[in-house]
Amino acid sequence: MMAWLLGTGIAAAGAEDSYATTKKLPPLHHVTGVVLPEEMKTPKRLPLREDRELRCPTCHGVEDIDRVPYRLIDRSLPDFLRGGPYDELDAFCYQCHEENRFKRPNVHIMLDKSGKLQEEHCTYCHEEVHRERDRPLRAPDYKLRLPPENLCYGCHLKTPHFNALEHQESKPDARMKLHMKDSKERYGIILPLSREGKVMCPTCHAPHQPGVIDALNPAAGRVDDADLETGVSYREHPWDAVVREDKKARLETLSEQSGRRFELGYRRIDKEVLLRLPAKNGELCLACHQFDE
Amino acid sequence: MARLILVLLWAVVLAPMVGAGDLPDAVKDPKWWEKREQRTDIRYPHNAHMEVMDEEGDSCMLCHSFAPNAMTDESKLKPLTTIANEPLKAVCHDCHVTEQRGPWRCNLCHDDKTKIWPEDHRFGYVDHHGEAARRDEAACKECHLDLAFCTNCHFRRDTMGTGYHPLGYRTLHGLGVRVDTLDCGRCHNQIYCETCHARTRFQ
Repeated sequence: MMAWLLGTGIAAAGAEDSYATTKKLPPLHHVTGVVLPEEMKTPKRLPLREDRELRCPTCHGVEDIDRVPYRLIDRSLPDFLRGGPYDELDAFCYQCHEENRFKRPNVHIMLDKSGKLQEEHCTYCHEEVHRERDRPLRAPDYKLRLPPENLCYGCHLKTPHFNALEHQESKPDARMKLHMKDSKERYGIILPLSREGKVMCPTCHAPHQPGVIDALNPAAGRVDDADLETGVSYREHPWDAVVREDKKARLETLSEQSGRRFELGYRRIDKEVLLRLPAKNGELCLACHQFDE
Repeated sequence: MARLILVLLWAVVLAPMVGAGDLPDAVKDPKWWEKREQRTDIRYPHNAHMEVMDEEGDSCMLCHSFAPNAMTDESKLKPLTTIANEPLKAVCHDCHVTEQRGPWRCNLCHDDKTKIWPEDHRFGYVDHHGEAARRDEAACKECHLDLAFCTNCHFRRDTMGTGYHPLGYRTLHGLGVRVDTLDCGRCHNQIYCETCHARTRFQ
């Protein structure tokens, strides 16, 4: 959450305004001018004022950032956030804030150790808890807080893995829909599309922990071999070297163009979670895709 | 008159703008997989690979990455994803050429050999390939994986010679030598001639 706040704050600020001229922080920016309690440990590279007050230079390494109009602040500078760049902004936040206390709960873990529903996790996505678990819900009764195509973005990035974006932008044609219908019947699953008929996260991902929904219910996922705490796990594979060689020249060109270094390798999926069908053997992909040759 | 002007204004200026948001697919910028159909460097018959992929425990994700991604800048992510999605020579050749675990005939994937020929193969290379082969045989074998490619000509027994010359050429070759000695020299060195002619002379 904090990372998201940092990410959106600057973009939303006024075009020519700086902090020095307006004394206004961008919306959703981390608070400044607070004196941190002694028990809060901060790393040396994030300097506080003598009285432990948090100021702009505590987090930002850009000189006089408070005098730079928000529009002109270059967020790609490595020291925009001290010690950066950060692939995951959470890593920046957790330098001061305890990860365990502030980390978002994994709401996909919906059952406690005794198998009882953790209802507070249901209400992250649903307005009401469906307690009659023997009675399957129909889509109009899901009472989701947001349309299903947007629901996951409340917690997850829109691009959590490669090809996520490409899928979200695509709208299956009539031939693919027919194939999807066959797959749904063959495997006893659902492959829901958005209101616009586009692919969305829940088309492939089954958000409910195995056991929450009756296994015979098509809405239940068909993958339950991994620990939800651990998530997807991978193992090394000799193909990694082949893939790196294959991509090397093109990635070098892309790096020259964008000024950022990229790497692409390969690890084989060992265990996967929360999918409608296994992807590691291609079943999930082939539920929608088919080929003429 | 005013009505006519309005109609013309509609036809020339406004009507195309109304339709602009609903372009047919052919006009839209094609996706990477649609562009792939026009590419000559990518050919992957998916169905032909299903069985071996299954046997080896691999899936679509071997070539089309679904690896975790932390990059949110779509302008950078899209070209990166295209690279991730397009396996090229190194990936294909690993099985089909280096390890030869799959069919390795070039024309299985490369429908037009002139697209993958080295530059020096384009004009009359068959007439002077011997020299290059002697100089760097390994270079030939990068593409000509099967020695039958060489022996099919050089070891032919259904014609006289190596298959290059017509039947009975041995009797008539003296005439050819006198007409164009250099042409003989493209494949034959002096020792080749002397093997017979020197022996005849000494006898």
